Parts: sequence; C-alpha cells; structure tokens
Amino acid sequence: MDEHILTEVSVVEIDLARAIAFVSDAAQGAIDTFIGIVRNNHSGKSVTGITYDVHENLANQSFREICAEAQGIWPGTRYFVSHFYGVLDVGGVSIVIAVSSPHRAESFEACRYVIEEIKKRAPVWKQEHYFEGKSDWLPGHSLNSEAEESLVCCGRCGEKRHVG
Amino acid sequence: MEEIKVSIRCFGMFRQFGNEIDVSILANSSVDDIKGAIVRHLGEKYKEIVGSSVLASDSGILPEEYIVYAPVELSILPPVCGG
Repeated sequence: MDEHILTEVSVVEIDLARAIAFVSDAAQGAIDTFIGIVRNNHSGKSVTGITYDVHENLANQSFREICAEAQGIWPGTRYFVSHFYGVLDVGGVSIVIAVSSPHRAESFEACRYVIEEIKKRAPVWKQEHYFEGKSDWLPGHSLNSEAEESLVCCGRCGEKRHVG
Repeated sequence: MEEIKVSIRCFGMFRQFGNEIDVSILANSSVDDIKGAIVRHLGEKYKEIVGSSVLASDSGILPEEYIVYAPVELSILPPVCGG
C-alpha cells in the first residue's frame, strides 16, 4: 500500500486539518483541497439534508485505485480522501480531498481528476431530503462499464483476479 | 439442476426494499440471470434500474458472465453519485 495515499469512509465529521497534515511534506510546495458541501437547493427544490449511502469496502477500494491512477499521471503527488457515510444537514461536509505536489499545477489537476472520477466510479449514493418532507435518491453514473472491464474471477477458482 | 439462494445487499434506491433481499436461482447461473431473478422479485417496473445496476462481491464488481456455483452474498449497486 502506498504510504502517500490515505483513503477512508467516515461516519464522523471530516477533519480538514488532518487531511492537510497527511499530505504535507517539506518537499511539497503546493496543497490543493476539494471540500464537498451539502447545499440548500437542487433542481428548484429546497433541500434540508442528504443521506449518503456507501458500500464501504468497494468505495474505499475505488478511492485508492483513483488516487493511484492520479499518482501515475502526476508523479510525486500525495493524496487524502475521506467520504462521509450517514446523514448531513445543509452545510455539512460530504467529502474532503487533499492533494499535495512539488508545484501547484499538479495539485490542481490531480485534485480535479480525483473528484471527477469518484463521482463516476465510487459506490456512493445520495438521498436528498426536501422541506415538504419528501426524499429522492438522485440519479447517477451506471457502473456497467466498470463491470465490462472487471477481471474478477469466474466464481469457481477462488482468486480475486481470474487468470485462467 | 440444484437451486441455490443468493442474498443481495441493497444500496441506494434499492434500500426501499430493505437492507437485503434473497432470490433463488439455478446453480451455474450468470450475473445476468441473477439480475433477471431480482427483476422477478421486485417487479417489471424495476427492470430498467436493475439493468443499469451492477452486482458486486466484497472484492469487486462482477462481469455479466460471472457464474455463481454456490449460495453467496452479493451487492446490487445502482448508478452512483458520490462526492
């Protein structure tokens, strides 16, 4: 496991200072952060909060894979990703991503890459709650293309990756 | 042919059916067959959302041709929207 990548699913308030501390290093001249916040409106509806549902194992696995990919594209970068699991009111922090690099350009680009890929690939779902008392699960990106690329075994060989 | 039980952990919009549902399939069925059994369990109106969902074990997303030989617990993952 790469010691410069820390990913987690959190059921408690995400600590931004911890994110920055993890990616900080004397050789890193830049840190870029992304903080996802629950806003009070969506598609004309007044939102009171969001329930985040997460497949913890697979989400954490996808966070690590995405950070490792980014590290391959932007060598020398360090990553912290924490995604909230549970119920948040408006203003609550749903995700914190921190990326550090020797120079600023890589931090900006890598941080953007990580959040965009998480939105498309991580098994996380949002249920919005509205003032009128209703709730809706939001539509999202199908993981069918991930299934097509999957190398998970046939179910008989017992290996994580099927090679036969 | 032997019939086996597959427990499906529910996520996202599938939570409305509980944390888990059970379906019965024939041994040696594919993921595609299991998705068909889920549609029969939930009703035809969910055919589209089941079709755009994937099944996963705890180690990864399963391809459509993945074959299930024995009782197992899987997860159904509808389209995602994290962040």
